Amino acid sequence: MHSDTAASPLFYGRFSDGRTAGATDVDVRLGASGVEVMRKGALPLVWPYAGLVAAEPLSSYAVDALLSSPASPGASLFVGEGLFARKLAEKAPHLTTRAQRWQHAKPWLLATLATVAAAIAVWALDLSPARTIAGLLPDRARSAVGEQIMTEMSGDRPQCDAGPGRAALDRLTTRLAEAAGDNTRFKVVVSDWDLMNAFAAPGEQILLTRGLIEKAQSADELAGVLAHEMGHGIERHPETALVRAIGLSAALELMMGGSSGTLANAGLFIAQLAYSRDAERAADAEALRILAKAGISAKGFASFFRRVQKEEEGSGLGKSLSSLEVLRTHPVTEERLRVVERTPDYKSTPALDEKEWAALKSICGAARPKPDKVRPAKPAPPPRDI
Amino acid sequence: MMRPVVTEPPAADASSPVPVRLSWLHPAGLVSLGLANLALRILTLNVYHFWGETEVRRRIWSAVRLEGEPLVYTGTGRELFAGFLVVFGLVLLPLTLTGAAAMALPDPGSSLIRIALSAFVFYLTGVAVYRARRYRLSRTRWRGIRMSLGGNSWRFGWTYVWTLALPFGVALFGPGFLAYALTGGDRDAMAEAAGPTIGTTVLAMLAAFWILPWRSIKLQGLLVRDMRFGDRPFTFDAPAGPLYRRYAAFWAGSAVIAAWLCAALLGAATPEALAGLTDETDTEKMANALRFVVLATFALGLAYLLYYLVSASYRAFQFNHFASHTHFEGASFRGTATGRGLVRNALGNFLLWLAGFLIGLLALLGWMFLAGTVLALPPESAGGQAFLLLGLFLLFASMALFRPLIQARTTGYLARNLAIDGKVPLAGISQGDDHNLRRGEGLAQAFDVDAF
Ligand SMILES: [Zn+2]
Repeated sequence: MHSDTAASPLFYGRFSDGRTAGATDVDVRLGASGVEVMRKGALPLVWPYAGLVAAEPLSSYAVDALLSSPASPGASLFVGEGLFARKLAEKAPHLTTRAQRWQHAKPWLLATLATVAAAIAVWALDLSPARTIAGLLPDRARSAVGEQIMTEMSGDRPQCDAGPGRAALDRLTTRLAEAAGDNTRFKVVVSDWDLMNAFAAPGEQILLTRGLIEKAQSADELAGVLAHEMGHGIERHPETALVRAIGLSAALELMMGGSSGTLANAGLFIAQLAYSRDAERAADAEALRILAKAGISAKGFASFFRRVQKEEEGSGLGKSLSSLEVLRTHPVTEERLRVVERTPDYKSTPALDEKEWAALKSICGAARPKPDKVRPAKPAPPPRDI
Repeated sequence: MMRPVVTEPPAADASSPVPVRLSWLHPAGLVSLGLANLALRILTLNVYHFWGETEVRRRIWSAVRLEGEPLVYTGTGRELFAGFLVVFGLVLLPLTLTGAAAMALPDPGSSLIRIALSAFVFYLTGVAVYRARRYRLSRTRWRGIRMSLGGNSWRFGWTYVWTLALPFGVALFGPGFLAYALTGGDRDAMAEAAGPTIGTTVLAMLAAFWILPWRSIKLQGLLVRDMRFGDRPFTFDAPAGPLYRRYAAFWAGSAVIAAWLCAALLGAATPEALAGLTDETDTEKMANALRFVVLATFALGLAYLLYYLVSASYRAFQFNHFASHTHFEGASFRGTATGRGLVRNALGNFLLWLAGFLIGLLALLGWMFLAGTVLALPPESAGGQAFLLLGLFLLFASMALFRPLIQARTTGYLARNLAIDGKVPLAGISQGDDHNLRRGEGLAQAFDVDAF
């Protein structure tokens, strides 16, 4: 059985049988087929190399080795010599650091490759899983989430609902919604907020700010902005952004072992997100379709953005951050403006008559002193879209 | 290469007690282990983390020596990963979603649900402390003999909660009840005294703080008395008195630091500084606010550093106190940790962490440069967002680059400052009945997670 005595040196080891915490001295030899453990007054044990288990993987730094084997359940053998560990690594390569890491990582490396391939396929085929899921959401869920986001966005600023102004806004909304078709019902809210912005929330809900209405010079301009937001709603852009934000936070949470806390703040995350250029183009196209169908000129839409952009270029920085906000998060590209301006003329009537427009202008009550005096109670969430 | 076989002195009695020497053999190659783990984590989108952590533990356990023979960690990466998935799916996700859904409710209900959730999370924290300890012990062997923790984690979680909630509750509501009783049932007096006024809140804080030494002894006692090596239990008999004498100094020091911090923050929090926090339309106000935020952050950091220095000697004393009142068979432990040693250890760990963080930051910047400049991905596109996500993950993973070394340094410091006095009848200690292992196969063990 032990024919190769000359080939392998004897090592000194400590053997525990696993029944008690005692240990005995043994001689250990690396035999041809396994580790040979020679105890005093007992038969030698042979632990085959293939089934050996090491307490820690055998590395080049190893100064000792602690082994166990299915051949002697519960028993363990400690050999306090680095040379033994290095010789053993040659005989039982599955115990080395490299082999063990590869064994554990291999299935996950393949899974990662598959994931990356799937992600590239999704990207190359221009699929949007977030969009598909967004399309499947029930209306009630979309409205509930949208309402929550609207509330969070406007903070504790009051809503503007002055009677005649509200009626005019409703008339404009209905006119555009009917042109949009599909019996979609839009909910449009005006918030008493200096900041000039408009955004769409899930469930076809739209928030306009007082700053925006004050800035608009005609009902046609406001109609353009409103139609653009409706375009986002029809295309389900807010829902898609929400689903994507939740998906990304969940992925981040999973990757960081549940410690990132981003999932809890998914709402915060989406407030930061902007729509992609493609989404903006799609909303513009939708807006142009709605305006044409409703018989409202698209000129207002273009002129509004032109003017805001020009004013911003002309004014010094820091005077009024509020109107800068709109362009900071969403630069109005020249390309978008040109597409809108190139729309051929069609027969149109003003979006609202003079009286209605005047009423809408003062939907937040009579004209008030310039901003800065009214201080929002909370830090304003960054606007995300026009 | 031959080594003479050392003949063991003839054992008078196989089960007679023998001294047991505890030592630490610092593991080599931890930086390269950290690098390998980082690379594999990135290449497997983090999943390898659990196997990497397992290899780190196998090395650290092995570094702790009793009679020159290593402790063995027998846990697996698969167990950690499964435990993480179970807790993520059955605990973290439902809790997060409930919390998010509660925000949609009108206010009294919403706040109540969120308070209840926080209390529940606090309870779960206690349960998790116990279960993590149980997992580690049941995966720890020496000479093939297993360690175990035999008690009830839910009961531990409950103790974890009430030992803090009760003193807080008494201090918050006690004055009200006292007023009610003394005035012969005057409800107005009760309402006046019961409200969370500054006085009662300060009282609550004092009470909560002074309960801490007693609480830590209570919790440590539960953990140690449930602990076994083979079939033999550990015992714990630490009195609270010596801890309180040391705690007084620690508490006074913390109070001075807290008072200084309050004064500094209140002094800096002028109306001009605060205005900018809520008004983002004025650059000058925002600059004031920014200055305030920077000052406040600096003050908080300094206060934390001072607090850490003050607390270190108390924590060292507590470690030694606990050690010397932990017994196993005929032996006791003896701790020699010092505040200076803990601070030096923490400082080194912080520098290592900082190095990992800076490396991660560089990686993130490089990654975003690749996304923005080389690939020209628009930041708002799905591709840009995925890139940012991976960049954040890169930063996060790099922060753990030196974690193996940090963990080994901390365990090593404690192991080097722990000795075993007295003798243990090693040959008489047997594996014991396997009740812990058999029960372990059920769902309950699935919650024995230790992945965080
Ligand atoms: Zn838009």
